[in-house]
Amino acid sequence: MGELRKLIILPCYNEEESILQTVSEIKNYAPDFDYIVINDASTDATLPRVREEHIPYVALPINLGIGGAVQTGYRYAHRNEYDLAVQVDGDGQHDVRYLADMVRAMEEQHADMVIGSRFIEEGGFRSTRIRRIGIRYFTALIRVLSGQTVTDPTSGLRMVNRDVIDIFKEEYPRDYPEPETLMMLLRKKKKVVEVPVKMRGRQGGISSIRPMVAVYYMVKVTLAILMERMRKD
Amino acid sequence: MTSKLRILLLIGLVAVLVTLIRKIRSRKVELRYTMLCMFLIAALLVMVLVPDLLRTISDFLGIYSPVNMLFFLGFVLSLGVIFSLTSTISKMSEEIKTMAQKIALLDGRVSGNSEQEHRETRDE
Repeated sequence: MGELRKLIILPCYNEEESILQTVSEIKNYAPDFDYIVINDASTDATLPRVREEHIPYVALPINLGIGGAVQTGYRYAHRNEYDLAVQVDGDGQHDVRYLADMVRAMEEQHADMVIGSRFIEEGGFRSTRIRRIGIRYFTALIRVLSGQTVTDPTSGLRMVNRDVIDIFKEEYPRDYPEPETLMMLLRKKKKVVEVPVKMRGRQGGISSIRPMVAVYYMVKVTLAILMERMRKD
Repeated sequence: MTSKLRILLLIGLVAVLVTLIRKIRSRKVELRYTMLCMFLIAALLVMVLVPDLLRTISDFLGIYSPVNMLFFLGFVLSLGVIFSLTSTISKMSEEIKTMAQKIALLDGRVSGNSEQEHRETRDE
């Protein structure tokens, strides 16, 4: 396992309160991973703090949204020839202690993508009731369209191998990318497995999905999944 | 269609066309993005200038009033213009995204900000 080159992608938009905490957790609990902060043109002190601590970072000149930031990380992973890349939110929701489980699942089950799922085992922060209903709806939609069951299609904690890095560096939607890209991988017959994780509430910053845009989110992601299912290549 | 309306439409269309051409001449807009617009204006001009043609087409399509036909035509062609703009914006937004990403990655490499510190396990 030691010879695998592993990268943690940390997309950050105004995460000054939590980013250093997240990085110190990586140093403590996932020391065999490299990491790269992708600063998505934050307007707070995220960038100076990252710079002061000599944390490796890439600073986007304009705000591209979560998808554009994460894709930058995949481009970085590709160019630096990483064997696997995992996306960890900079806001402290994701516990990096699960990364070892995810690597093991990826190797043992020869998976192309491993998703950290909140809904396999009880416990942890599992989002609000209304959001869980939304997530269950996406699970059902993806099951109908792909025949596969993914319990947490909106999870941002996702680890991918080289093949998928190559796909994501070229094709990654700008906003709300998780369910859509999951559908894309399933369509391309990639193997997706899930491992149980517990997530925490946000430690700082604000969610990219505010209640006001929930309806837009549901409609956009539904259409995106349907369109993705209709693509060919 | 009354001749009063015809004259008004004629003046309006010519004004728009002249403005458009002036903008293109002064390079404030690019010709290739205005082609559809010019085509739309030209088509409407023909309809206004040749009312018989308009009547024939509206009769053929079963539209009661030729002027309704004119508005309908304008509306449909406007949708075409809007769609062509949407597709241009989509392409440009994708291009801008790719450029921002490449600039950021290049900047990280040139400044050394994106270089990983060497770990004991990986030192050559």
